[in-house]
Amino acid sequence: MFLAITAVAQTPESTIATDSVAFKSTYGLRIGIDAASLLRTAIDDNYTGFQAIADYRINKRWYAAGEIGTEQVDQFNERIDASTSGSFIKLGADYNFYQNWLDMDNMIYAGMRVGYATFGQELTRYDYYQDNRYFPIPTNEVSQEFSGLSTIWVELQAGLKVQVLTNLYLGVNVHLRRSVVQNQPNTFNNLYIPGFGRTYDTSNIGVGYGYGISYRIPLFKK
Amino acid sequence: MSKRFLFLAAAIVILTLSSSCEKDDLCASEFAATPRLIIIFKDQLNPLLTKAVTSLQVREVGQTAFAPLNTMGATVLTAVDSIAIPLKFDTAGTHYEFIRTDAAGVENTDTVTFTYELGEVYVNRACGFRAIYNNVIATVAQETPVSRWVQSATTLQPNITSNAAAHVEIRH
Repeated sequence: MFLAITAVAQTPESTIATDSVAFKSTYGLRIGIDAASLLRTAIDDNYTGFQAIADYRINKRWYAAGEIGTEQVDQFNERIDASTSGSFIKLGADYNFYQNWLDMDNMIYAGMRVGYATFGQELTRYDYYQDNRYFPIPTNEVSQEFSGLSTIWVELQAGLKVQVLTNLYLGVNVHLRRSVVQNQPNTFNNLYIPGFGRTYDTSNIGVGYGYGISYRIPLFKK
Repeated sequence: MSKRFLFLAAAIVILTLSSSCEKDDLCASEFAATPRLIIIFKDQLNPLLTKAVTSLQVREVGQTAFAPLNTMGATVLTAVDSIAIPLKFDTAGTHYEFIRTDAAGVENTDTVTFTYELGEVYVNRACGFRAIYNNVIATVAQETPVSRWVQSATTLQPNITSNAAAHVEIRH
């Protein structure tokens, strides 16, 4: 990742602007989709997801940004099978560190989000944890619904967006998340949270990544 | 332009590779397994005193295999004053034969039935759930002629939720 960032930053431009030419930046709403969710939906039989991404340029450095999406995930563990489905929204801002040359419009950015997911879980199979095998260990095939679950988290994002054609951008980003408020079932846990990812028993940290394809609707230049 | 695509491609490959190494989801032994029934043996003449059984084996009525008497999996113990045996996850309870072999090598088999209500508690993703047993009642089967070595079985702790304390006392 760092090699890539450094290399992009060093890409030289052959022409040097004279003082009299001022390049204007394009402002507008940039909307797109997360290709990572679509890719995983195509490859992974146990995953269905869609995520729309958007940002709006506020000034030279700052962008208001957000994501909205849905996810459905089936998980198969040794003693528990469960599926989670729901939707999420993330709102926040990105800061562009990249010094654009001339009329380039790329981003190397870091950002923050507050995320909220509302979802339900279905427990479909579970076993009992035993320290011996004297009696057969029963497998419970059930359909136990846990609905009305929710989670709020904070998220750090880092990534880059590259303009590949006029107003068309490709991007990659990584996320580090920490859940703040979790509404869990009394007799079960949130094994997966839409937009947040899988949970761990020992921490409230989540990680993720995305590949963005987005288009900027140009509104004005300044 | 081609350079930019190369960087993007490299970043995508790195991210995809790194996301595939997830932490193993193994059930660590420090998490509580389904609790066992812990039985202590007391002297029928003075129930304040523990009284060890010379040699003991336990098995479910109808099975040929003997039940594990401790977490090490021993199926026969000598001079034993407490055992931890599994309970069946069945609303009909568990029927156990307690087979004592005395110093002379004479076997004496008594049947004790344990009935209970079943419950369950979520442990975690890797371990699943654990069973618990509530309102345990121990009943010693009658024999004619009476040649029982088990005089009585009394519930000390009716709810079996952990292996921390004895649940049933057998006097002999």
